[in-house]
Amino acid sequence: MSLSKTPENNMEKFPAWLYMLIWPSSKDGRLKDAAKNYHLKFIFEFDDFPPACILEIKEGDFQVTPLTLVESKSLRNKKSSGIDGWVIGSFDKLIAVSWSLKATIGGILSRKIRIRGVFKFLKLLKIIGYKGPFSENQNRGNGGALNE
Amino acid sequence: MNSTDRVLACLNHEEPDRLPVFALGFDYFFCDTFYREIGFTRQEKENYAKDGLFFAPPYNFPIHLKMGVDVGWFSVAGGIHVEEGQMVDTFGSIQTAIVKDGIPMNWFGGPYLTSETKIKEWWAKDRPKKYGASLFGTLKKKRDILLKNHHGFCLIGGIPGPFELISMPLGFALMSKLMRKKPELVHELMERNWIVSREALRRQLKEGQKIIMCGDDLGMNEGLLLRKEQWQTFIKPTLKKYVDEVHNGGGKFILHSCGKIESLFPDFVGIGIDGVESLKPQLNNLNKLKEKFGKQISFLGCVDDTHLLFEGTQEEVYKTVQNQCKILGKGGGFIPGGTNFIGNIPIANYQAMVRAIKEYKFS
Repeated sequence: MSLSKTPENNMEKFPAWLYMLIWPSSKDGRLKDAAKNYHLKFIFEFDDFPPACILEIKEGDFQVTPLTLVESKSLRNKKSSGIDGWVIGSFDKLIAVSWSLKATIGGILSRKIRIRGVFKFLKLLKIIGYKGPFSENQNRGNGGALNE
Repeated sequence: MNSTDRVLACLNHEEPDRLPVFALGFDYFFCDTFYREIGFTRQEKENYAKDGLFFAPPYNFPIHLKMGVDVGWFSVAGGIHVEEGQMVDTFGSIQTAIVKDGIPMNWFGGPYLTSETKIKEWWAKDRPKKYGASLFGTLKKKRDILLKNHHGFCLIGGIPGPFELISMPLGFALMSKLMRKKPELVHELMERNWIVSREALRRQLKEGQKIIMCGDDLGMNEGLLLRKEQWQTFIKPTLKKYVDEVHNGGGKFILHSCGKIESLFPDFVGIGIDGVESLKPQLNNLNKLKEKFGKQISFLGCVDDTHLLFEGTQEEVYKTVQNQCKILGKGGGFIPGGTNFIGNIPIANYQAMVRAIKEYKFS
């Protein structure tokens, strides 16, 4: 069964935003091309925008699974969990890149954003086609605009 | 004539060689159906990816192109803050995303500035912040590529309009209360939002944007969302600033507003709006509006996408749309298409609408 079509795929808040970010490239087939030889698993845990979740990219498909904080912490600390890395901290700081790159770098330097597995994370960003907050799959088309 | 020539001819009240097809955008439901029923060939996928045209719904322009659309919209959105576990745009509207049965969607999730104290705290944090600069480059790049490589496809730019920038952040109850009891606070809010919006309009015009459409839903099925006098006192002056700014920059200004808004047409004409988009035909008497204001203002959208496109037969769609073209297209000033973002309608009905528009012949 396709990872992105599992029936329990009902979610909200951060996992829904993450899912929405990747969904278009999954539907139009770009993800399948970019990720066919990859298997990556990342945890995202933002204190200010819960719940945490796992993003798994496998053989050209993806799955987002919401996690409780306890599950997320336990998986992050367990060596045998198969996790390639994690991004934790403040989502507000992370998306501050939309105002200035300086603010996001500041967030990383001040450890308000922490990333484990940086190189695999960069690979993950490349696979999902994420080039920046205002690039092609930045999805707030409807933000101002979806309000119409 | 290419698509952009046709659109400009219509907005200048001239009859083009054929009517252009307008789409506000295609939402996640439509995209899901599109990829299941139509999709792209490998070659198309490669070409569109090379042109950098793939984007999240509702601005997924390869779908516009494949469906035969001539003119689309790309409204830039204000940045995002995280407040109390929610995503809030820089003007104070909560933005919500959900995934249901594997299909995502996002929308306005409610007001965040729900008291005077919250409004003042928001300002103290130096918000609203200006739009991210790279947005305008993205818009320009897409517009130029669509124009050059895709039969002159016309991409209209945009930002949210003045009413949505107070009604959504405050909510209707607080907005109405403040309009009655603290009008000076509402005016200040409008002015702070305008400073940010003006900069965004200027950036788009500087990047060569010739047509700008602002989304500003003023109506519901039964009528206006606020009293006409309130709109005239609080909203109209700022909307006029939008129009003047765009005209001064050499552009055309279009207003998107859902709902029954026909009572505002004299004011729209008065402040120089070039076109109005949405205009659901069962809510607004379009024939009468065309007769009265058709020489001064253009009509965009106007094809009923809640009943006709959703549950009509292909024959009904074709006939109705051709009839609309005949009445509203006379003398230019008509750019037909669905009234709003296209959702879960049968694709064959959408195709019937496109055929009806493209096959319409001016007599």
